[in-house]
Amino acid sequence: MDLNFGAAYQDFQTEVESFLAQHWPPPKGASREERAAATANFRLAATERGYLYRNVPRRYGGAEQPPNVIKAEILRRAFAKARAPMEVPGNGVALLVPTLLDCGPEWQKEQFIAPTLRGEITWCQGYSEPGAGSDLASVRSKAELVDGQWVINGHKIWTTLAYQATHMFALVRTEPEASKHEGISYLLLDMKQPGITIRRIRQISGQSEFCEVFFDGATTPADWIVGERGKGWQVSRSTLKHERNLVGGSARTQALFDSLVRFAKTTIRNGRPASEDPVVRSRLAAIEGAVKSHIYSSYHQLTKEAAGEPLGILLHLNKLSSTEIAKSIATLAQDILAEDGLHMPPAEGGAATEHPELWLNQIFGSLALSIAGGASNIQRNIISERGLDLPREQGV
Amino acid sequence: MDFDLSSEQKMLQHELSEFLTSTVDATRLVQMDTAQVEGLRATIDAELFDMGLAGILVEEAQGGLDLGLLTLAVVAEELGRHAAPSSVVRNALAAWIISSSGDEAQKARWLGDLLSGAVRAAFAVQQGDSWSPDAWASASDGAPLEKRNVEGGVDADLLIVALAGSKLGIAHGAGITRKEPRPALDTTRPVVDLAIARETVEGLQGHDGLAARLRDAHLALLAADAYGAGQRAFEMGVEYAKTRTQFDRPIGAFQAIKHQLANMALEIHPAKYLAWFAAHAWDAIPADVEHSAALAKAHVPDVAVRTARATVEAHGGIGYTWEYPLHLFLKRAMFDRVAWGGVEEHRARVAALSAW
Repeated sequence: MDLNFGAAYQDFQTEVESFLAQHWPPPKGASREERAAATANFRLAATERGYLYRNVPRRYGGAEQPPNVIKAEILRRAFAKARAPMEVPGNGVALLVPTLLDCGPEWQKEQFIAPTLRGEITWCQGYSEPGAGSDLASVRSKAELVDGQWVINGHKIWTTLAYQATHMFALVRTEPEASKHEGISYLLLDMKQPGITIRRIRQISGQSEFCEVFFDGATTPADWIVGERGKGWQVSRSTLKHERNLVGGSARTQALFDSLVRFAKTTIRNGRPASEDPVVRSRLAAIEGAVKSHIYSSYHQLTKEAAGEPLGILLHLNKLSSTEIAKSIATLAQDILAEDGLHMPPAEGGAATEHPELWLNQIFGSLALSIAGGASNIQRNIISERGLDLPREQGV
Repeated sequence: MDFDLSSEQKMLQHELSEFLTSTVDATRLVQMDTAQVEGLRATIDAELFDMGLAGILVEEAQGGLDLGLLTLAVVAEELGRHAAPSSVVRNALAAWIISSSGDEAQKARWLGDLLSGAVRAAFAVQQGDSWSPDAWASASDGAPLEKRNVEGGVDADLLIVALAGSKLGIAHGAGITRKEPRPALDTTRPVVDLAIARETVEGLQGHDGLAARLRDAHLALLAADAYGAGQRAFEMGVEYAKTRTQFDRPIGAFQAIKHQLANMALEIHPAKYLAWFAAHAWDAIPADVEHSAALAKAHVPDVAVRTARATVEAHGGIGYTWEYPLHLFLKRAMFDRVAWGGVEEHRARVAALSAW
């Protein structure tokens, strides 16, 4: 057991750190536009060096590196320490690009991947519908091939940041006669067209990142389909395991816990910092037990993955683990927040020291975490069926 | 980054698991009286001492294996998983204490016998209701030292005795008076109250921080033991859910049971790595030792007890019978939760050590 990365990786770490020291941050006082340009150039240089988009071939704008989870983790840590931007955030890079690499025809890879990596086109995920949440394969939005293009009618919901996205990848029903899972296709489409109406959903947090998307004769070219007709379900399940980020979730959980501790130490309750209340201290320590278990589990998974060994049940625990810890953090945060939490946070955000009620965003956001991307009860099904090999649910 | 057991540690774990699986029959263990448990303990120890496990923390020059606490935690975890009675962990800790803090005469007298198992050691620590080295005290006015809940104290040949000022001593022979033992919660680990004549305690040289290190080793090992017990209870729950049928299907097909087991998995699996980390820190990361030992002791037995309780619940009536051995693992975890200070005591220490 050794928590260091070992001599073999020392050179790589040094190389990354010296690259970062040279290339980041941009000069102080840069305008917003200058900063955006500097970020784009930084990403290009970092990709050139092999640090970003490591799984994407060079011809599509990636770094084309052999998978190495240890290097990936060294990069994440070094970039985080330097506060340098990593890959463009969002569904495009995280979900669509791996899917295209796995299942897309050559022309789609050439046309879509590079601008997605540069952040020039942005993607939203058209999956959930009012009648298709956890039971995603029940999607009813349909597309018909008419005069050489798909004509789409239907209704998507919980589409994150649909109002910002230039494009959508969507699961739609194209084979109405086929069975539930065999009748779905995976289509790409342009969001900026008359057949699409977006309604932003006001969430319990007061924010509106999630949207409803209505298709009313929206269109997309016949060849903007990924994989074959009727194979959309399998395409959407394609999971490229390239440098799976096994530690990222637990690192974010640790960072969230660290902010809770800071919050407890800086918030005065009953004439003293909340962190001096024995009950608060005990609750913090109880949460820390779960946080550290989660982190060390991720270290173990990283070790296993690097050695090419299966992760077993641990992999299935990660999402629910983050969610449950976020829930216990939210519960304690509300008690520390106390009556400051009777006011909604300023919409424009700001510093949590000035606006402690910003913790409400975490308090409500932790609920979104338990629903989005596979609800917690679905996670429990996955853990028990795939992890523990218990009988599968009837008819699912 | 290598956060896994070494191949040697995995091999040891495998060997222990095979040996204990073939030696400890939990359904018979629940029916054993004190003498029979003692017989099983002797059978187990014969093998474990023969493997040299009592020398895990002792340097090679003194006849040990010098493998570190993580390796001993692997032993503790397997013992917990099988609810196995054994003195090997106590002897390993005592051998480490004598080898690192005894004088030449003490080493010559005790070390070889501790390593071979010819002598069995116990730790006489708890005074009043406290296990903390800060509260260790000497008896005044020549009264005997009253030590409570000494695991293995019923028939130990050598006591490592906690003394005032976080010092340690050793006692043996006629100076020790054993109180009448009461029936044990965990029949595999009976405890007894002792009175030790103050003048018969020999001091150990010791060194600064030895008491804290001894405490932290115990905390990490109790966490590992608790993980083993909790994990075994959990596995019994999963197995039972697959085989027990009600309403014409295995109860594991019902979402209520599946989700209950998923929630247990969520807590018990990662707890192992917290116990590992505490042991590893003891070996290799001095700055993290106290905090990680306290955190592991606060968290892992808490999770193990919750898991074992939930497993009894998921079993239904059979889990509540003495005959069905699930309670062995519940009680093992309950013991681990209480010994060397409870959950809240160690959470308070975590908070203090973190400077919250």
